[in-house]
Amino acid sequence: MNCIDYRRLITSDPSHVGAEGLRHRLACSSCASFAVEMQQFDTKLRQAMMIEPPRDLESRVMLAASGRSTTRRRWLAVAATLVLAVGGVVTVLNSYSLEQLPDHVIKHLYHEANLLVPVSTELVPAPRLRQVLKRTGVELSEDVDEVIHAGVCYFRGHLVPHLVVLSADGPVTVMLLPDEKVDETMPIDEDGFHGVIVPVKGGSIAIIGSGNYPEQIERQFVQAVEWQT
Amino acid sequence: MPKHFQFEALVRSVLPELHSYALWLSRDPHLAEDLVQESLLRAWRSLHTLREAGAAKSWLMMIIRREHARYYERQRPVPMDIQAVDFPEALLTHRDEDPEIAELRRAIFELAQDYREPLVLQVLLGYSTKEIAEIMDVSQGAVLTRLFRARKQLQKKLATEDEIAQK
Repeated sequence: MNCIDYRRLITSDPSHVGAEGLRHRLACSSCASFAVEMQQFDTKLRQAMMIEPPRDLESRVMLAASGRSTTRRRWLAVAATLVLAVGGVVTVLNSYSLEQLPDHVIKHLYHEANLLVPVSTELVPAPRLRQVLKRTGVELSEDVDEVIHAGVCYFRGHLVPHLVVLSADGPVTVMLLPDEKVDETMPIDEDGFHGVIVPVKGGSIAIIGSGNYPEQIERQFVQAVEWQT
Repeated sequence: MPKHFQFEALVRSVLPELHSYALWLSRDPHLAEDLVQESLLRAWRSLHTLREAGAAKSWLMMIIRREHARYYERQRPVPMDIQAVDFPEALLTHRDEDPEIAELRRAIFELAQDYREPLVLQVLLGYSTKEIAEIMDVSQGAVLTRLFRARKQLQKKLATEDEIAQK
């Protein structure tokens, strides 16, 4: 194999040059350098090709699998009416017990582990926050401070807002759960996470951090949250 | 394991690569999401027949490919002028990313479909040239030629961008 053949081969298929190609590489330092360059180029190619899916795509797929939606084009319409429909319909929720709620919250935190160490402390603009909440049938009667992430997650058969709020002790997760009716405050104290699930107007809010309990954040959300169901 | 959790694990394991593949195939973020969702719903319906995520990924990739082809069959006649499609800024979402990666992404976007798809199948999904030839129904030699030209075009494009930046 000569240099031209080798370079053509490695440009086509850098990972499979075969025994003959390998022998040429060992004998030719110039082609060995070329091979390293091609492998570095392929590493960058893979990096460039990997595009993170939208954060809510997984939730949408799970929702669709539960039989309530089909495609993205229908998604917005379905999402807007879903919460209204849920009140009168027997849903997957029935298969989840209330006792498991704290465990499921912790499990969800691990599932969204990247949010526990936010890469940015940039605040979510108020219109974006309102938009996210509206999609799940939630409103805030007054502004809340320091929200650095607002997304929609599939949780126990429902789409719910998952927020991250910055506190003096680090990020605090706030999950607004209009469909989880709890009779009294449920403490969460597991794996270094401290928080509560508090009953609010027929639904509940889960507030969890890893530092001191963020009472101020609880007060803000308990006062401001309004369910639109 | 309950079917719901089994499916959730499958979705999580294949979603990033499948979504990227659908995006590079269609060059349309919205269509890509529909293709992924549709293929995963089929997986949900046939979950009992799937044994491992690796096999599921190949199967899902083929569904995406077929659905994508069907979509364009329904849309005919559509001029496939590669310059006519604007680069979706949604592909540049990584704030702290190397600018070279962003340029490379633009360059991949502008590659002709015949060059872009085998490259994505090889680099992103790890298929061999023989497997790509079977998927695309062309000879292995044709795949090697397309891969060679695809990389050369990308390198040339990046070199040109560098020259422009240095001027």
